[in-house]
Amino acid sequence: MTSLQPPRAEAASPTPIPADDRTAGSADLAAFIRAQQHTLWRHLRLLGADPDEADDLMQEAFVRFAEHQRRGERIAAPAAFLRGIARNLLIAARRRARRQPPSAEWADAVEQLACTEPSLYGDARLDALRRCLLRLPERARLAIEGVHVEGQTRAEIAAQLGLGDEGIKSLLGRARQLLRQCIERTLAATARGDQKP
Amino acid sequence: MNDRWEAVRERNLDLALEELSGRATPPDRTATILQRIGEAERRNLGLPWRHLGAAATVLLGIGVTFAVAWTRSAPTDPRTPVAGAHAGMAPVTTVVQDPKPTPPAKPPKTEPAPPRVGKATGNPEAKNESRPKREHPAGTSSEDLRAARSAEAMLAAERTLSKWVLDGKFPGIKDRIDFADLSAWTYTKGLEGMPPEVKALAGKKVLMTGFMLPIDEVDDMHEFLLVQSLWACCYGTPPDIHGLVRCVLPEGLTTDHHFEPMCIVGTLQISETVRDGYCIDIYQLNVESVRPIR
Repeated sequence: MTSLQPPRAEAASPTPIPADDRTAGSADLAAFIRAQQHTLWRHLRLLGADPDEADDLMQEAFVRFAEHQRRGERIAAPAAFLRGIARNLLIAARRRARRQPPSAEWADAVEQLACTEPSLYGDARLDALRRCLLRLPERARLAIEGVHVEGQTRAEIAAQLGLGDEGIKSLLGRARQLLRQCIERTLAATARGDQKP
Repeated sequence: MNDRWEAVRERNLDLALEELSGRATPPDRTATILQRIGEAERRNLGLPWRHLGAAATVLLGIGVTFAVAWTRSAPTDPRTPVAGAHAGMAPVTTVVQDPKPTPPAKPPKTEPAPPRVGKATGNPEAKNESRPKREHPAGTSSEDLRAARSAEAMLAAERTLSKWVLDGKFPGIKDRIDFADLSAWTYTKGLEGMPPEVKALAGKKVLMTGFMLPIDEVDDMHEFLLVQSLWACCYGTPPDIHGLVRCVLPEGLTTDHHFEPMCIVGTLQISETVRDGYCIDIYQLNVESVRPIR
């Protein structure tokens, strides 16, 4: 695999389970599930699963993960291992349903994102997104909120803002770029703040 | 890769906006997942018992099979000697007491028999059966042996055919045509490069020998290919386009497939036959008679 990003950080799991401590019991497992389920659901969505499909596969992935744990297997990076299970389940489900599974290249890129920027997956990203939306210029914010949050069509937004088709397309593109940069800056700042004593 | 990386991040932003709008939010399934894990563990705990049940079933099946086999192989007639009796053996009508144990069956011979030595050699040692058997070279496979037999059969057929020609069995034919005559030039395309002496054979009545290679039919064949060696067609490099002759029987006449070398008399035609854009043959033989050489 071509690696344009930093190497995978195996310590991406925020709540690693002590793999050699099988007596950790259901309390640790429950905490792990609680901490990882949203991330895993988003990972599956990013791989191409629809919301219901992601829900089913997420549950199945945790069941398989627990089965591996029950057998006493040493799992060095539980979060990455869980993502691997979910990815394989999605591919198998797509093949059974004779639907196109995610390409290996796309899945690798998604995995890289999960490893290198786990904060983009976390619950904190929604807070960052809300804050960044408020910081956007007025017209850009209206365009983004109209299309992506309120579900309006691009033509409707264009009519409201007095823009043509190309104009609204360009405005949305610039707004998305600003939003992405803002979210990444905000999350990075939050992470730096967390690392401070 | 950069484009894909950008696409993934764009898609991630779309998903975040979807979550923000409330159209698709990640569910909290902790309780459900824990319940499913508990059920799976209970099922796994019951697994050894299920395995024991399956193992018992298999053992019972094996036992029943052996019992049935034993019942069938047991002698039904008390006068039948037990020695040598086994399942599927024909009923013995004559009781022969053989105190000697049955010798084990001899393994089948794997090495071919030594070649016969003709009288012409006049070698007194040839009759000595204790001489060492001829060994085939290492790596000799059954295909190689078959090919060697095919070549030997072809040589024998050519000798027979030459003798028949000399005996005057084919009026108007002075000699047979060899595949070596037809293919003694480098084929490139169509009739390009064909020597004049080969071109001169066109339209002449010829005698050929070779092996039949069916095209579409096996019985009641209307046409077939004639090749010098079956080895070259089935087990090795197939002959080039000038190493085969398409034999066409007269309208209304057919022949069956024979594995022996064939003796064929007919009129040779030389023209390029093109089907679906490919040249399939350049020699055609309008057959007048065909018979196997035995």
